[in-house]
Amino acid sequence: MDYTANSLNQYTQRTIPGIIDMLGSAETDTVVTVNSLATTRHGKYWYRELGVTNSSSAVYQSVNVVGTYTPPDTNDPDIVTSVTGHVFVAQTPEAFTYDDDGNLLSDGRFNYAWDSENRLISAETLTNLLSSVPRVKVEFAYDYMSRRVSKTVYNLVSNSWSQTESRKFVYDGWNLISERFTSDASQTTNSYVWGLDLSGSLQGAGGIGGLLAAKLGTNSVVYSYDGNGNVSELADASTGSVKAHYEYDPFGETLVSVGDLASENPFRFSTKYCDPDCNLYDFGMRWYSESLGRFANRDPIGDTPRRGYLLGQSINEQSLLDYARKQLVSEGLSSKDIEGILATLSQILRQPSAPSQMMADETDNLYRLCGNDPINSYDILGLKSQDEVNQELLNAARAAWFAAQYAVPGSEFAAALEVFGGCTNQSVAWTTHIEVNAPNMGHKTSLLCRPSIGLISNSLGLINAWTVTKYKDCIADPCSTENCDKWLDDHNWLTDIYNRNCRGN
Amino acid sequence: MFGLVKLFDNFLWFRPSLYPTSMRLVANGGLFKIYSSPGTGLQDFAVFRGNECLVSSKVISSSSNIYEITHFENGFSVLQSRIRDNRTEKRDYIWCDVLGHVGYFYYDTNADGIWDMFFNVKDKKKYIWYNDRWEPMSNKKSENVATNDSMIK
Repeated sequence: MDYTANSLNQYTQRTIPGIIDMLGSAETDTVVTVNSLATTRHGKYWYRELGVTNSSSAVYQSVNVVGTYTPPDTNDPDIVTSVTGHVFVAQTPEAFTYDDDGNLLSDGRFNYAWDSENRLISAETLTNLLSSVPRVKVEFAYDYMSRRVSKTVYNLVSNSWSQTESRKFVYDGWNLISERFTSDASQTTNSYVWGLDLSGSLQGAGGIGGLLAAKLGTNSVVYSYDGNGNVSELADASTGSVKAHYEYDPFGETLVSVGDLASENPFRFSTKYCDPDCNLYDFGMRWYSESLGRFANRDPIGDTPRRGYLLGQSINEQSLLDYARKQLVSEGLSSKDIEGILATLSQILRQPSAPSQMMADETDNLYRLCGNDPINSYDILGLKSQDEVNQELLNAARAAWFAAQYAVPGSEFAAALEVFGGCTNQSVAWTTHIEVNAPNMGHKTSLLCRPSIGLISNSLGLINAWTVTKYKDCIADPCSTENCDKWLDDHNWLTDIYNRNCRGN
Repeated sequence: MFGLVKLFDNFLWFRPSLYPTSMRLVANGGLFKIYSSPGTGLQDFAVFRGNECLVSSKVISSSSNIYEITHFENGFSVLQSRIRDNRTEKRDYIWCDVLGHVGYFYYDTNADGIWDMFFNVKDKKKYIWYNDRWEPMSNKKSENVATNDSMIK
């Protein structure tokens, strides 16, 4: 596929090859055909490429897979298994359109609609497709935290929409714990049990890898994962038999989906809810297209800030405040606390920064402004604990030490000290978190990040005191498995830096 | 108390920050400076004399009203107290030699006014106050809890 992007780095179109790859597995003594065409075999695996013509319109290809087993040495009849379905292939090139907020408005199959808070509220089949393509419409509704609370599916019957399914969703935080849906006059309830996710907490990694078990209708299943927290298997909770098996490409497109419950189970790539009606994954604040390998809407935490933002023109102020409000609401703060915090934040965001305060260039984003590492830390909000900030400063000083020792032996003390801002106060530009104490939150929360002028005051002493505290607490904790001596080494090293450079200043 | 002048809140953005903490300068008077984290209710704060920190307070849990106060001497922390609901929960003393290297710790784990654990950094030995004297404990983590047998001589 060839992709074309516009100046905003949005895909505007891509070519769609006129082929359909069909693959699967079957016993080696079974003959598999696809639309009566022979398949290529490699052990249990089979493969067949189907050609389609999608240059003038999309194709909704009927596919019939037949497996035939002929019992040897008998006159018994063949055992034939047949599965029929359809594969949608968009017209090539497939065009993509967006609204001014960067939300995907259309692709080769659906039109999408978004509300004023950039939440997907509906997806509807394009009207210019062949009549063989089923016309569906899916509508979503959200709660105050922007969690999807309902989904309604319609089919077009005699030129009018007829409701075919209705779902309601119930959450614990961001983890879906129950969904009840009515389809074909029958009512079903799915329930989900969550444990620790990849972060080691209940929802620190957005629940990825944390779904333990589910009851899908009358079927009780347990989940297993690959190393990235993608659902790989569902096993029957009673017998242990495999009820579903999934494989994905690196960007989440499903390569293999087999098993009795493969389609019933909605949690798949990244343990996120897959919406088969429009091929999107619900990541909470964003929708992810497995086919495109990217999100269908922008990250509400904010996009690449321009220099104007850093200069205090506040081009992103409202979106930042909106995001902060959502976060505060989700933390359960009172309205009074929230309004007070937002008023202060608004004041802060309106303060113009001096040019000398600029820390980032146009390629930096909010994550980098925070010095954040979202890939390795799962820290999607750009938050960092004081311990992490301290440790990074310590690491930076260590790095400066070794670099200087290598480059100019004897200069390592000064180099490390420079990371701490020297012995005396200095005015330098630093990126700092805006932290807010909220009595009802039970902890401090760092909301947003901004570059600002900072005064390094005795940071060497503060970090040194921190290492001593860590060492002392480590020694006192009988359950700690940490190497306490690490903290003593850091403390002695920092003390030597102080004694060599600052004592008596 | 130091004749400090409280700075105008609206210009928090321009305030010097106490890197690497989130605290910013909130009051300034001669040699003395007070830094505090922005917000309401329980807050982190630090009192400086010149470049030297005298005392700092760190909020551990706002909802449980827990904070930790650290007293400094010659720029090094010497006494730390954890306070919950205005009651001291535990207290630790840190002794440093003249060069600032930590020498030993005293722990008052229940804040009853008596040091009940002692750690000598030099020989990495931990002691517990038992029968009116310091009894050594094993250095192995799994054996850190002294038993009656090991302490009764």
